[in-house]
This record gives sequence, structure tokens and C-alpha cells, in this order.
Amino acid sequence: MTDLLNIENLHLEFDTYDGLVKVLAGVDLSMRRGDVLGLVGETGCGKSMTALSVPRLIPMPPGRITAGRVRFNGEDILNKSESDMEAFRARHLGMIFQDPVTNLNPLFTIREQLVDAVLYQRAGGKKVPGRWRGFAASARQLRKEAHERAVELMRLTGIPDGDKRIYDYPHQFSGGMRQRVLIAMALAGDPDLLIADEPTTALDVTIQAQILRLIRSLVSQLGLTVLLITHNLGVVARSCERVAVMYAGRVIEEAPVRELFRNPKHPYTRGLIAAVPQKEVTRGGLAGIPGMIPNLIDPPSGCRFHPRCQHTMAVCRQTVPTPVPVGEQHTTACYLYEAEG
Amino acid sequence: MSALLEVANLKKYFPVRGGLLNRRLDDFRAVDDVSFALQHGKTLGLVGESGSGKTTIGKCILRLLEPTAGSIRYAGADITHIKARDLRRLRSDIQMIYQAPAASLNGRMTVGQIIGEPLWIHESLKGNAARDRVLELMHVVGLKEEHYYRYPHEFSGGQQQRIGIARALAVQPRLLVLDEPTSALDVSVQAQILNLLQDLQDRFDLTYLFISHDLGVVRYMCDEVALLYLGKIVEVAATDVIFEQPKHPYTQALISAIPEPDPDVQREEIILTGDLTLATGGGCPFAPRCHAQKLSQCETLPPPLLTIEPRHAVACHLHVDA
Ligand SMILES: Nc1ncnc2c1ncn2[C@@H]1O[C@H](COP(=O)(O)OP(=O)(O)OP(=O)(O)O)[C@@H](O)[C@H]1O
Ligand SMILES: Nc1ncnc2c1ncn2[C@@H]1O[C@H](COP(=O)(O)OP(=O)(O)OP(=O)(O)O)[C@@H](O)[C@H]1O
Ligand code: SF4
Ligand code: SF4
Ligand SMILES: [Mg+2]
Ligand SMILES: [Mg+2]
Repeated sequence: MTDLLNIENLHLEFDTYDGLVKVLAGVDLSMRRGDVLGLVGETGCGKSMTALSVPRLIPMPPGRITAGRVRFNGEDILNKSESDMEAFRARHLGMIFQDPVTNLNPLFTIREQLVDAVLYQRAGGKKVPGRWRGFAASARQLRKEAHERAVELMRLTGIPDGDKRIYDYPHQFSGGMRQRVLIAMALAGDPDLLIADEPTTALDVTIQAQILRLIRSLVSQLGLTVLLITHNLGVVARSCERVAVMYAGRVIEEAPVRELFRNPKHPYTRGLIAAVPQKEVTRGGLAGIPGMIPNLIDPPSGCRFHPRCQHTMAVCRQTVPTPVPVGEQHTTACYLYEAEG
Repeated sequence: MSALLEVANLKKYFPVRGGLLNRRLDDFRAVDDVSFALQHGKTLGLVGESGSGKTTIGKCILRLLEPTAGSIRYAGADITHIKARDLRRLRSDIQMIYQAPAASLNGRMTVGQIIGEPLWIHESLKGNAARDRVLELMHVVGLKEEHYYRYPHEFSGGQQQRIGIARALAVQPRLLVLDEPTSALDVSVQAQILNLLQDLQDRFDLTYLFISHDLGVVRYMCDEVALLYLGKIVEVAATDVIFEQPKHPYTQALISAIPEPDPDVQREEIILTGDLTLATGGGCPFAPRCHAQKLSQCETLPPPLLTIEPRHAVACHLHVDA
């Protein structure tokens, strides 16, 4: 079976006033149909940029992809024309962005935004309904169908009284309900892949639990493939089947969820898990990771974690470790394991 | 054992204005009859969802907001209506640390000036004596001497929070109100700051009122926890009691919703419906979302906060017998 998504050795730089920021430095990530993959890591490690490389929404310039490939269903995305890309996004991708300004428009009703999303997806990424059949009536028919689909999407995402509430404005919805609307919009075109960037971060814990349950039920009902980005390891443990951990622009460990939490290998992953105040941890027992995330204008040589690692060896400073298998479907990029052979 | 801080029947209402003349139409009860006691040297957690009134309670204690009713006693003295000239004294005893480290630091001042300013205001300390104290404080919170002449924007979020803590410690407070001190930070940095706060507490004999919506952090930091719902305390008890035997349906739901970073934690997840909305009709404020077997009085009578066991109080009609 070929991968649905395959990101290979992706390098991304940003040209800034202070210098060239090496944001992604060889990201490898692949997903199969039906996967629910969590992408975790701390602020600035490149989670959003990795995700945005798939719909090709990284601002370029100042961004520049200097190496690597992104393939979807075996097809190279980075070489597509912009108009092919529009159609590709509409047909295959559903997205929930982290950045709130790209989300719901306060000036339009939910209906206007949701119906637009449905029409946009149906038209393959063009603003005008594409399946024009020569009758003005058919455009009206299309809108009517889109309206029905919009109400159906609201039901699917657990918004009560969708047929009435569809005429409301975003401010009339609570934070949790707005998040459901965003999920509904992302699902408008039956996407092959749903990319959800921090979908619960701004929500209270009881609402977060509702949204995570919704995502899980959509996965089992629709067989959705989900790339879930979060900095919260608890969210990953509750919602994902596989996890990829990023540090400073690279995926440094990847494993099935249970394996990652039971048997973390990379010193950074271990540090990250130990830094979460869990049940058993008693006063004074919480371990932080010393130091802080590196400056990506002048990133550390070799393994980018080496200045904070307690096992640093000479080789760690010299060359970049490549991922090696350390268990069932479990890989990590760290010399501690290559040494073991 | 006497309490360092005693809050009794605290209320803070904000006016709801509207209409043509912007008249006061109604009161919004941000804090509605809250009582608790904080023992010297201990940490009390104030937990609740966004808008439940946590920050408002903190600000009333610091007298940054004027309480509508109730009393606040600090070290045995009533400070509810303390005069302006006594406020300075109080403000050096009680300090507040805020959530967004960057927003609470003056960007035009150097780290040295930021930490030194309260020394000047409260003790008229300046020159080398002030500089030595600042450097000592910087050392205590894990900042380096070379940071003295730098500006806040040159620091990471975690270091900015260290600057804020050093500034708060400058006046040798006894009580710190920590308002979501780590919620803007990454977990590895959060762990550093939580450990720093514990060290400082032991070292300087500090008492903490720890505001947070992160139950994992609260479990790690607090001796006692009070849960707020729409401006009211619904349950208060020792931390292990709250986490092991929560009694209030809201507490039970919150505990069950903690996303534990452990896929093997199998828990009956209680998913609440809806969100923080005001109940109409004067019953239990939690009634619209309550998942328990409700009683008829749930919709009509507000449940009082009753002590059901020593040091364990619950406001729920299902828990009335002592
Ligand atoms: N337009 C830009 N110009 C310069 N640098 C940028 C730009 N956009 C992103 N970056 C940098 O790229 C890096 C990765 O950003 P990204 O948004 O992918 O991080 P993230 O892992 O999603 O973090 P967060 O958890 O904070 O969302 C960051 O260091 C960021 O500062
Ligand atoms: N100055 C004010 N005027 C009117 N209403 C206010 C004022 N300050 C706070 N409120 C309201 O009081 C309620 C409690 O606010 P508060 O900031 O104490 O909540 P919180 O528990 O700290 O929430 P969060 O977790 O979002 O910080 C909110 O509904 C808020 O909108
Ligand atoms: S490669 Fe070396 S520096 Fe990097 S995590 Fe492994 S041991 Fe540490
Ligand atoms: S008083 Fe009734 S409605 Fe309120 S929490 Fe208890 S059982 Fe639920
Ligand atoms: Mg991001
Ligand atoms: Mg607050």
C-alpha cells in the first residue's frame, strides 16, 4: 500500500531581518489512509510549517523550500501549478488552522461560510460553481443542496438545532461550538486528510474533552485520516494511534502511541514526558529539560538537541543522526541507538 | 494553626450596562459568596474554567479591585477596606504573578531596573546596595549576571517569568498570588518554573494562592484545592481527596477530563454537555450541565457549601449529611 502522505527530507528556510532561519531541517513524515497521527513538540519546533507544506500555504517569500519532497497519493505536490493546487486542496484536504484570523469571519453567518465551503469544495477550488448545467435554476439548486449538506455537517459535528442555528453569526456561538463549525467546514468536501493544528488549545478542559471525543467519533464513523498537531502529550495519548515528536525542525522520534509513552527512546522525548506533572509525581519530583530551545538562525551543529542532552558524545556535535529502527514501527534519530547496532 | 489569609463571603459584582443612557441594568456576579482560608506556608489551588472568577478573586485580595461585599483578613487583620497609605505595606506583603510574562514587564526598562524598581519604591534602596540585592534575586531565580542590562524582549517566555518572579520577591512578600504562572509556557519550561516556585516556597517560607485551569499542575503544586464554577466554590478539600474521591459532579467531570499523558490510563470519561452558561431559575448553577442523578431541588434551590468531612466541603444537594 502506498502512503497517502509522504514528506521526505523537507528543508525550509525563512529570510528575516536577523538572518536566515533554518526552520525545517530534513523533516520525514508519512501517513497511511486511516492513520491518526499526532505531531508534537514545543513552540517553534516547526509543527505548523510541516503541516502547511501539504496544502502549500507557507508564505513564500519569505519562506523557501530548499530541499525535499512532499507527495500525496504518490503525486509530487511541490511541482504543481497554483491552479492545480487549488483543486487539489479542495478535493483532498480539510484544514483547521491554528491562526485564528484565518478562521471564522465575524461578519458573515455560519450559513454563508459553511455553504461557501461546500460550494468551494464541490467546484474543485473555484469560487464559481463549476458544474454549471446551463440553467440559472441549477445554480439555485446547487445552493439548496449545499445548504442541506451544511446542515448535515452541523449534525455530524454535534451542533444542536443546525437547521436554525445556521443563520446565526459566529459570536452567537460558544468557543466549543465555533470549533465544531470549523471542523464542519474542514469536512465539507469529504477530505482524504484532515489537518487539525492545535484544535483544542484555546478551549477549557471540559470542552477540549468534547472536541476530542468528536474527532475520535469522526475517525471511526468516516474512516478519516487525521494529522493532529498539539503541544499537549495528554491530547495525543487520548486521541492518536501514532506520534511523531519534533525538535528544532526535525522529527526525532516516531512510534505507536502506547510504545512511545511506555518506551520512549530519544533523550528529548524522555525529557518531555518527564516534564508533565503526572499522577505519580510527588513534590520536587518533576524533571524539567535544562536549557532552552535553540535559535534557528544559528542552530547547534549535528544533533540539534546536543546542548541540552545529558548523553552528548563527540559524534553528536559533528553529524546529524538519521532515524534508526528501535522497535516495532518505532524509529528515533539519536546516536545512542546507532551505537547499539 | 492560624490562617495567613481568610476570605469570607467575598462578592464582586460588575455592572451590566445597557440601553440609551448606559444605565446599570443588572449585576454580573463574577465572584459570588466565596470563602476560604489559606494556611501559612501552604499552597491553595483555585481551579475553574475560563470566566469562573479566579483572577477577580486574586485582584480583590491584592485590593486591585474593590470587593462588593465580604471580608478579607490577612495575618489576622481585616484588609477589606484598608486605607491607601496602608496599601503600600500590604502590597509588599502580598504580590501577584501574572500569566503573560511579556505583558506584565515594562519593555523599556532593563532587567536590572525592573527588579530594582520595587526596592526603590518600598525601601528607597538605590546604588550599589540595590544592585547587589537585584543580582542576588537574579541568582535566586536562575538568571545570570550578564542579563542585568538586557531588555525583556530579549528573553524567552520562561526567562521572562523568572524576571517577574524576581521582581515580586524583591519586596520580601509572604503571600504570592500566582495567576496561571505557567500556562503560556512549554512543558519543559513549565517544569523548571514549577520547581523554582517550590524551592522558593521552602526557602523563603512563602504561602501561595495558585490559580490555574491545569489540573495536572494543580495536583503537583497544591496542598488544598478549591473548585470554582460561575463565581462560586463548588468543592474544596485536600489535593489527594479532590483527585481520589471527588464528590461534586463538576469536580468528577473535570478530573475525568484531564488528558493524562498515558494511553493506559483507562477512565470512565464524563463528557459534560454544553459549556459555562448561567442557569436560569435560581437552582444549582451547575444544573444545566450536571450528569448526576439530579434531585427535584436541583432546579429550585441553590445548594449551600457544606462541610461533609473535616476539611472537605461540597455544594451539591446529593451531599448533605455530615
Ligand atoms: N513568516 C515567518 N518568518 C520567519 N520565521 C518564521 C515565519 N513563520 C514561522 N517562522 C519560524 O518558524 C519556526 C517554526 O514555526 P511553526 O509555526 O511551525 O512552529 P510550531 O511548532 O507550530 O510552534 P507553536 O507550537 O508555537 O505553534 C518558528 O521558529 C518560527 O519563528
Ligand atoms: N472589569 C470587569 N467588568 C466586567 N466584567 C468583568 C470584569 N472583569 C472580569 N469580568 C467578568 O467576570 C468573570 C470572571 O472573570 P475572571 O477574569 O475572574 O475569570 P477567570 O476565572 O480568571 O478566567 P480565565 O481563566 O479566562 O482567566 C468573567 O465573566 C469576566 O468577563
Ligand atoms: S544524538 Fe547525541 S546529543 Fe542527540 S539526543 Fe542522541 S545522545 Fe543526545
Ligand atoms: S446540586 Fe444537583 S444539579 Fe447541582 S451538582 Fe448536585 S446533583 Fe448536580
Ligand atoms: Mg504552530
Ligand atoms: Mg484569569
